[in-house]
Amino acid sequence: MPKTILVQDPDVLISLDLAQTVMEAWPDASVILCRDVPQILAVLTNGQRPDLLILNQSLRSVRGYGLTSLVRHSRAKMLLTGADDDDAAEIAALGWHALDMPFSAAQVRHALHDACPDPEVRRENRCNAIGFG
Amino acid sequence: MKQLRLWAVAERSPVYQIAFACSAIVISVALRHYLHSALPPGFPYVTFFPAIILTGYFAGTKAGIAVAAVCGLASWYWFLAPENSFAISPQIILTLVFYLFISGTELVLLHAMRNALITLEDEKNRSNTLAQANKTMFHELQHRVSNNLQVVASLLKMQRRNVVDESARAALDAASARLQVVASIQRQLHNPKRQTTDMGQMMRELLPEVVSSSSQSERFTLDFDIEPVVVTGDQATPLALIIVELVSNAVEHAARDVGKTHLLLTMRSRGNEAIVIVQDDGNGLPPDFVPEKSRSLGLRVALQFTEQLAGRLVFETINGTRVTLTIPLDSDSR
Repeated sequence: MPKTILVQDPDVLISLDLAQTVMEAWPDASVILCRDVPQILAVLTNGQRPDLLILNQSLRSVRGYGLTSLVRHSRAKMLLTGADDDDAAEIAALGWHALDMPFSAAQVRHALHDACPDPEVRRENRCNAIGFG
Repeated sequence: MKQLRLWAVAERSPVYQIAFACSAIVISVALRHYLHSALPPGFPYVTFFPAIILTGYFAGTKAGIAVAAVCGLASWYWFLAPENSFAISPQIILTLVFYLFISGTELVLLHAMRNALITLEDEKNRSNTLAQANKTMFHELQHRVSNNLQVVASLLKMQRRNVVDESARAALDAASARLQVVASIQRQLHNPKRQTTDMGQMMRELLPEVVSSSSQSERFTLDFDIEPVVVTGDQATPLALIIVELVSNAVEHAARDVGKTHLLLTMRSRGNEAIVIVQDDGNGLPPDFVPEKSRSLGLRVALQFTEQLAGRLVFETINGTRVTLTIPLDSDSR
């Protein structure tokens, strides 16, 4: 089943790069790009159910915006690219993942595989369904 | 112990001070009455001094003075002969002066101690606030630097996706790899918990990524024979970049035609020197190889940084290629 991935980063370049890396890993995936947390909240409260959220946020801000309960409710996975080193254990305890910036494409692919194990990962990119949240 | 200290420095309301002082007076006078028949003559203040100390400590100096005054009068009236009167005699005056001296000394010392504890607590709070602000600032800086490096890394990756020429792709890959190295070093070096860097440990974490990001990675195995090599922040970045360049160079040029090529990184710290050996069991160096005349950017970077570190870089053909780097260690790192 095609995945829906939400990518949030205030920097357009970073989010486009992440989106492309996601599409290389899952060619059929739909990617929703968000600039900030209000856009994420709008996406989540509008009934969209991403399988994975890649957010440039710290654990504290994720909690502060009340994203934790929303994400847990939808059983989505989370990959934080803006997490503090000190929060690594807590992030792991929540079943989420973290990625230090700057990350290589290989590191992102590895983190995607960890977050959403998928035996049918393909290298060929056949889809460009990138939408803005 | 910490709780005792916090009690001493806590701000007390007037009601609390009055209540504590009254309780101390009632209890000490009642106890003194209760013990009166059991005590030999000459102990009129035996329960009052503890009452003054406890009140001075837990309720403040003013409450302590009040307890000292009331207990002094109580002892004069009930416990100094003749009892049940405020009689005056040279002996009674001497006893009262003695009482005043002892209780006054206790209160002065308690007051000074409380003030010192309050000052200490204030300083501690100020230090904690500063440390917290420092930590927040560091995290913010770290995030900004990482974000900026990520923008550059993303640009390089996106550029690479649009390039078809293999050599251009390889150049962009190499630039990305170098950026990753600098970022990784930056993250480790600016960790506030870390003053010096164990380069051996850092290389263990870094080099597998460097090798696996190469298109030749399937043809190599990487091993480590590493002892801790502790360097200062100034030495860490150039040293790490030299090692990464030497390993990248080996991955680029040393691959054997058949079977896997074995790469071994050896690191030793001997006295005031660090020794790093990158050994491969590939085809060895070309016969006319002169490092200084090489056009390889990686090699030029390695040579320049070696010079910066006042080190020596020796290339030899021994069971493949062996590159030995020797650098003096800064005294701060030892």
